[in-house]
Amino acid sequence: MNGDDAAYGELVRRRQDAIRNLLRRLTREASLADDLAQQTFVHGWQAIRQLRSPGAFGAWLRQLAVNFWLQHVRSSRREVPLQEDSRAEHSASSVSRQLDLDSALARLAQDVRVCIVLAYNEGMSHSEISQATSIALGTVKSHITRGSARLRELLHAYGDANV
Amino acid sequence: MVTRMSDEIDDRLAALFAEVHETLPSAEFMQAFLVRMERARRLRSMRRIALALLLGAFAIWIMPAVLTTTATVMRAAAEQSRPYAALLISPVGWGASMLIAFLVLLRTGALRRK
Repeated sequence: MNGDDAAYGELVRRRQDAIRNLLRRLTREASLADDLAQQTFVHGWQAIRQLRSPGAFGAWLRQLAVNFWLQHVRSSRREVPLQEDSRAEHSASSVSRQLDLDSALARLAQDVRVCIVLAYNEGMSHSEISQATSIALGTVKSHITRGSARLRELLHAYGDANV
Repeated sequence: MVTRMSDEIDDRLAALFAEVHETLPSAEFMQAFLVRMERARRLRSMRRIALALLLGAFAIWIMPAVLTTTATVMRAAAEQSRPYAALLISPVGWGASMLIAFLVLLRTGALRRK
C-alpha cells in the first residue's frame, strides 16, 4: 500500500461510521449496507481524481453512497421483508426504536425515504438534497413534509409515544 | 453527525434519528474494504496491461503501412523541395521554419501552461 492509499484508508476509517449508518437507514439491512458502503469507498478510491475540492469529500462520498443504493434498488427491485416479530422482543430498548424507525422508513416510497434520511440523518438542507438526488426542490420539500407526517403516524402506530 | 438544518424539520424525528445513530466497530469493515481495494487495484493493473498490449499489437500491425507511407511522402517531399533545398538550409529558411513551427504550436495550444 503506497502513501496515497494509506491516506485514503485513514479517510475511510474516519468516514465509515457515517456512511454505514446512512446506508443502514436506507437499506434496513446491515450486511447490505456494509456491502454498499464498501462499494462506495472502493469507487471513491478509483474516482478520487474527479473530486475538485478536498473539502467536499464527505458530501461527495454521501452522494456516491446514495447513488449506489438507488442503483441497487433499481436493479434488484426487492425490499427486505419487515420483521414485525423481532420488534416485539425488543420493545423496551433502543434497539426497538431503531427497528421501529427502520421499519417505518421501509414503508416510505424510496424517493421519500432518501429525502427523509438525508434531511434527518445527515442534516442536509432541502437544496442540498435536491442536488444530491437530482429530485426537484419542490418535490424534495413535499417529500419531506409528507414523509415526516407519515413517519410520525407510523411510529405512533408502533407505540413510540415520544414521536 | 451533521446537525445543521436550514429547512423546516421535525425536532422530535431529528432527535430519534440521532438516538438510533450507532457507533459501529470498524475493524472487520476495514479489513473487508482493504481486501476489496486490493482486488480493485489488481483488476485496474490488469486492465492497464491489457490496454498496453492491445495498443502495442495495434502499433505493430499498422507500423509497416505507416513506414511505407511516410517513406513515400518523404521521398515525394524531397523531390518537390529539391529546388528549394538551398533556401531551406539558409538562415532565412531556418528562421521561417522556426516561426511556422512556433505558430503551429501556438495554434494547437501545446505551449499553454497546464
